[in-house]
Amino acid sequence: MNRSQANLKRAVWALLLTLFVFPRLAGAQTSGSLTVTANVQGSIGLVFDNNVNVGLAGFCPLSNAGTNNAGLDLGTASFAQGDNLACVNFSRPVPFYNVSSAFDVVVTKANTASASYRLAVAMSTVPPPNVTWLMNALTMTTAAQTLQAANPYGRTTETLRVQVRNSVPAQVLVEVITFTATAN
Amino acid sequence: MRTTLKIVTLIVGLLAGSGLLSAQTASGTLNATLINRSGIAVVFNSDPAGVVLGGAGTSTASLNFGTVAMYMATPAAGVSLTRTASDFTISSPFDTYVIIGGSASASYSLQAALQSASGVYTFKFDGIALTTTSSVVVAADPNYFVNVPHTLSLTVPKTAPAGAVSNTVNFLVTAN
Repeated sequence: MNRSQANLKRAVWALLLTLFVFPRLAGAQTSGSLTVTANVQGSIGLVFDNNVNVGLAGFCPLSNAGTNNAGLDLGTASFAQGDNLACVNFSRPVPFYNVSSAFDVVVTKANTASASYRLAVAMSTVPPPNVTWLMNALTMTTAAQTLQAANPYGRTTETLRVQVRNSVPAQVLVEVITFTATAN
Repeated sequence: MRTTLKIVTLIVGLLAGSGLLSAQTASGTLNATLINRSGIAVVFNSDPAGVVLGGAGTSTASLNFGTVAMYMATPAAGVSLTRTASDFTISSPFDTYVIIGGSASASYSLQAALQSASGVYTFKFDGIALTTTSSVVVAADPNYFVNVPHTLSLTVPKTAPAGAVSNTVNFLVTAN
């Protein structure tokens, strides 16, 4: 084979490579698969929210409304002079005074067929003598008590009331009230 | 002694005649060939910020979000949870790692499709809702030989029943 024949052979090979091999490079493909799994469980959620009448007497605004960790300021009150907040309901059934404010508890469900829930409440500490904390008509203690046995899911209005006898020394009254909703 | 010398002389003569003692050369050619084909491959890797994949480092991996609930306090490590009024979404980053050889390709495209219909659930790849029809989710990614983070999310309506959710995302990687 002389040199010109060798060159011709190389040219033919180059052409064949160009025609049949290189076009496949750009379209090279591969595949993979990713299997995704999850185990969905039913759950319920609880948040505190302002009542539609917020700002009116008996409906003080919550701090951090829309969450499950809200605050309710009942202001500064005395037996003789009432409460400094207009949104607080104040009454004076001698020898006590009451301050109260209503707010909403919103309980929602997801991925469950539950039709109702039970709502329980408990206080964080035992209050001083002659001070009573009530949720609606229920006198609260540090033990969880059922407030409502079968609430439909959605929004319910609850009223917090603090009853103070006029003999109670001046002090700051603070409680953390835990609400527990349990799907029925 | 003379007899022995004759015998030796005879043997040498025979060997010389057979050519065994002659100085000859031989040659051959080995025609070796190698077809260097182009090739591309993808594997899935765990992302440092995401859940640990099953079968990480392979092209058939699994991503398990674990037990999830709309109102759960804390999802599993690597899982993010967001909620709306009507559903919740769990998501996790994961990495794709594409290698290529025998090609001058500068980028690749990525197509994805669900293996089975998703029903009430929504699977998304980097925010793109997936269906059983393959669609391009990345048109031209130049990142060969590096982990490329992506996000896979699953949206669960609050009205869906509790239970297991599973599907497979099939990816097709094509060199541009």
